[in-house]
Amino acid sequence: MADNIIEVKDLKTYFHTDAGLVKAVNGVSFNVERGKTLGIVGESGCGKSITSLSIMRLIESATGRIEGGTITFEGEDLLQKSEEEMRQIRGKKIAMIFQEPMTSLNPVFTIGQQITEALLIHEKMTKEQAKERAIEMLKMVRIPMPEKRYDEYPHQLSGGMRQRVMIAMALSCKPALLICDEPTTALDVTIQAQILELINDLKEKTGTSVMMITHDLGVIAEVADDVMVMYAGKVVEKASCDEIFEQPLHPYTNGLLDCIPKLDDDREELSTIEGMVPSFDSMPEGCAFSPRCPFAKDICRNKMPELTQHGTRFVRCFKYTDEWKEDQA
Amino acid sequence: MSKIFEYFKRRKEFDQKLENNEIEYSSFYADSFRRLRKNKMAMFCLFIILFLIIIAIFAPLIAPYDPTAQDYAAVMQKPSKAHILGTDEYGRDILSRIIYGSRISLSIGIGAQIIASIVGVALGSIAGYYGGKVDMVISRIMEIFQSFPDLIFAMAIMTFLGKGIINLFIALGLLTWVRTARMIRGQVMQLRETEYVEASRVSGANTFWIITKDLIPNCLSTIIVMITLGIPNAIMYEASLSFLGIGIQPPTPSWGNMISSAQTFITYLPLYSIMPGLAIMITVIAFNIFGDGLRDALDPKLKT
Repeated sequence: MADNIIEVKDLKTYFHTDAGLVKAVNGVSFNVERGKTLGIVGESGCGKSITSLSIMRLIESATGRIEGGTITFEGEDLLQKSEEEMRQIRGKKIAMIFQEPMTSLNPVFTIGQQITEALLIHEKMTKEQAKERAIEMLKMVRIPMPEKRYDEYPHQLSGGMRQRVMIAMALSCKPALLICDEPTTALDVTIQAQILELINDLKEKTGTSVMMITHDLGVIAEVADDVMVMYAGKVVEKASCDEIFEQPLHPYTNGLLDCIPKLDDDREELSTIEGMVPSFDSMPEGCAFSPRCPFAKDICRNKMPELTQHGTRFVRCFKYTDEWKEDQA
Repeated sequence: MSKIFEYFKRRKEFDQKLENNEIEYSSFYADSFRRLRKNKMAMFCLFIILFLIIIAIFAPLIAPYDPTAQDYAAVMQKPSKAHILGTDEYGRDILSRIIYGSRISLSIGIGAQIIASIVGVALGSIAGYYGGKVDMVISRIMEIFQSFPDLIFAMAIMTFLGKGIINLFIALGLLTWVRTARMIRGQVMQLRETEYVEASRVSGANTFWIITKDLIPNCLSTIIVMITLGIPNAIMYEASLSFLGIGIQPPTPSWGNMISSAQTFITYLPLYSIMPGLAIMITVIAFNIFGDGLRDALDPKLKT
């Protein structure tokens, strides 16, 4: 069996809202191998971010709750941990970076104060040691003149530099798992490439495993080893990165790939997936993708397909089952 | 189309400058002070406030007489060379009493605001951060505090605690913390949703850390403004309570108790009541205008 840093099994995160029960994450299972990158793809609202917040145990608010499943991190179930134990894990063993580098840094403290924050909380370092490590981290994320930048405020940095600072903060305690929640969405294209390259590099250097959450398949192609496609709170396809791009099995993955404009294409219009993600109160009876699926049949509309194995990969679609052929007949 | 292109080009150049560290920045407070300096009225009031503070600190050097020294040979005198503003019914020099009175007024204004800010910021940020039931309980407490008529509430506390300057701090602090708490609560509610709070949380910070390191420092300009605008309020209440005889007790001079004892002689010696009244008025107006200016300078968005 592969050496998994984290194993998520049948994770269910529900929100009890005024409008009713929202099953934001509904039975999601996946593993991240040590030193590898798992890409999680899906449209807005498909449960990607909630999955990552569930791992951090940060959704226990008034309405949201993890209703079932297990999250095994380095052999221990995170869902059994107390809040105090979780605090020891957050930032130290599992770190996270966010979408918005412009607002993820506290405007009233210097870069240095913010990077040393996690070090002071977790590593019980002295101020001098923490400063040394912080400058080392800034060097590692290739910020020029780190000693000078250490004393500067976030508004004195550009967007790309702020994201690099965020990465430096996240990696300062040498976490075993780094969760990146759309780390490049707010940056412009050239900076995006730099940041992804940096994440890849640092992954090699530190041996950190990465969970890359994105809606951009370009990002996935760049960094991921394995890919998990989510739709409406469920996993619809899981495969290695190469397999997904070579031959997507699920019609949704196929649609996503078709949406990427190609260089040798002079079509006037970009292709889209017709329709919208169904809202949680009008979830169809059968497969959640069936209203938008060009291949949908009666069976898709009436029954939720299971996630089934096909060779090395998994897909949740009737197209690859015997039932499909029966329906054909 | 070319405009968009222009925009991105400019942004790119700006980012490049940031990257190369070519842009000179002034700090937030230097920036605010520059804005404040443009406001002539506020600067004038700041000057008055500094003048009052100097008078209060150096009262023994400035005042021509001991404010409590009684001189029965010179009772109720009209202004003269010896006593510029005249003397009161015990022959005490009115000017000296007003000068010493500034010590009481300023220290009470500041002391009461320090207490109000500590209580207000603590409860306001807790209510704003936790929300839900905690917020409900604290909000109801604030409403209870606000539902009493101010002066009667302060009188009740003073009667309960007894007279004295420390008790006056407490009474006025309890009277005014609600305003601060409300402002801070609203701001914290807004701030707790920001990404940097989320970022702190994912790096393992506990609630105390988040409130003290992420939330309160970002409310600092509000707190400064609330204190500056709260001081004149407290000075007014002190004067009212002393006027009613439950604040500062004679012979310690306070502007409030001076007016109180002067009212009997208002027709015979009008300056006796006008001068302390004028002192209160100037102080309160100066703090109010300066506070407004400070608010505009620190956070233009706060302007109502």
